[in-house]
Amino acid sequence: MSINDSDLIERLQAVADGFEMPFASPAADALRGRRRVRRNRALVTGAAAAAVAVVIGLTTTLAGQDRASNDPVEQPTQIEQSEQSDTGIFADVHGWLVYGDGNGIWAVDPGRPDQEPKLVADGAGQPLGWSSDGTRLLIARVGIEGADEATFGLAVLNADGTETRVASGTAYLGGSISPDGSHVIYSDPFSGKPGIYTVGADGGTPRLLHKPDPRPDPEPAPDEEPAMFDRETYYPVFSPDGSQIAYFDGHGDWGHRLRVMNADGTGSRTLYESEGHINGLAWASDGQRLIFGNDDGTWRIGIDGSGLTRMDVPGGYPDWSPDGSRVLFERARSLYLARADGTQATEISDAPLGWGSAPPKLAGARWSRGWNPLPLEGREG
Amino acid sequence: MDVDEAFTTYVAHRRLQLFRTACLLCGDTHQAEDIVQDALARLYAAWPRASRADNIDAYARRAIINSHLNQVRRPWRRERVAATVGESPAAAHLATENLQVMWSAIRNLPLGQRKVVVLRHYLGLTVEETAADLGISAGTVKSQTSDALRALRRALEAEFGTSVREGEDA
Repeated sequence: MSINDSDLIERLQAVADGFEMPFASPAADALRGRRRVRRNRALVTGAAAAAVAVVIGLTTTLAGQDRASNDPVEQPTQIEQSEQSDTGIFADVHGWLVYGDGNGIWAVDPGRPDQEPKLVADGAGQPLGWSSDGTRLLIARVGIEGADEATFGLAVLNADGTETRVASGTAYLGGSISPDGSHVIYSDPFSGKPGIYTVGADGGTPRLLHKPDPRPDPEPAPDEEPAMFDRETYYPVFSPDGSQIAYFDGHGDWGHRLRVMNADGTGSRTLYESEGHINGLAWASDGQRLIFGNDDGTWRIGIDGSGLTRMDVPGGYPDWSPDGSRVLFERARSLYLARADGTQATEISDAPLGWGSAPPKLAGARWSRGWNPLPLEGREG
Repeated sequence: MDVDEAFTTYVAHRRLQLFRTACLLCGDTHQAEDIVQDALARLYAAWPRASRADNIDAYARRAIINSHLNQVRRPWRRERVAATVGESPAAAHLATENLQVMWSAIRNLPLGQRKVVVLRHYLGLTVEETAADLGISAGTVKSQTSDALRALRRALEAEFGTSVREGEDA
């Protein structure tokens, strides 16, 4: 057999014809295009605004005005870091945001979202939280093994670049790392193992920390006593000082309770009962308030249950910036950053959040709790 | 016809070819989808200008090439040529060993040669059109095409021990 140019070209065509394109809607491409146009316009507007802001800022400073006192949004105060640790591979991302898009975990300077992000870790994953010294990042991992199967787990990414797997599950695991970086809490709501577990950040055997009380079936059979079901637990997250844990318990479409308990699993109490679905839960850095999303919007609430306020944030899976002046949220699988009053929203990530190539039925959480706790270096955040 | 309607109509007709072009360039179907999404977003943003230029295909091709180049330049997404065909996720879709070997040979081409051979022989562009798209001279297109086809022949010969005859087309 001999191979001439025509044979080669025919084979090239055959190779190309072998690639099956995943389903893609032209309308989705148009949507991404519109977002690109908006972002381009925002960049132009932003550059002009930055020039104006420099002039205004200079004028304001000279006049000795306190701009913070005029801010309509009440802001929690930032906890100061007492000492600096060796942050190793995280040294370049102090004060940055991290997010996962299916290809990797990326870090981006929140003040310069148009710049190229830095790769923090390869592979599909979701950042769940940092130790307070910025040396450890808890991430949710997923390994796609076909259309119907995947492996899920939690891992601690260490400043020396090593990764320690601390938990495995059959579905997406939500969790949080303690501020001192010593241990991890997590929940596996779909495994049939209800409750919040704790495990060492260096691995070990998970231990049940808290199991919610069962709930009666909200749709019992007529003339029968309602059966009792375990409540699933979601989004367990340490308070900034590590002394408390906030979480949701409930079930799917039937409503959820926002609860806070001591870090040892005792003293659980309900702050708020939410109808329908919930999405995301985070503490303010002063430890006095929580932010969460549900079907009706984004809310903040005091840890004593007071001051429930709907925030004008156009998205879900919210998180506060360390100084409370801004809110990170997810909308249409993109990550946005806005002022705490919801204005000046800026898209942070181009690529869709989540597990990337995972089939829809395996697509899990797409939130981000990735605000590096250390202050931005060299300029104000 | 407004921009959205014209754009989605164009995408419905051309997306598969753009996707396959990206696959040949980058060697990975997931990365190819990223490239196509990025390129089409660029195309949408430039649609009024591109449609006035009366050669939307050329604009789309350049958007694909530029998006691929951006990905290659990102250090964390730098291409890694698979050591064996089996390591390439796309190779599993190829029906015969013959095509899998061809695919491996394409992936092993230097990027410049791969771009030229894809534009010339998958998209069917002329030497001049390829040169314009890639911003290189017609002479470079010819020499890179010739080198690429020679490399592909050698790869197939090494795998199957076939007698390889050079053609006239370069």
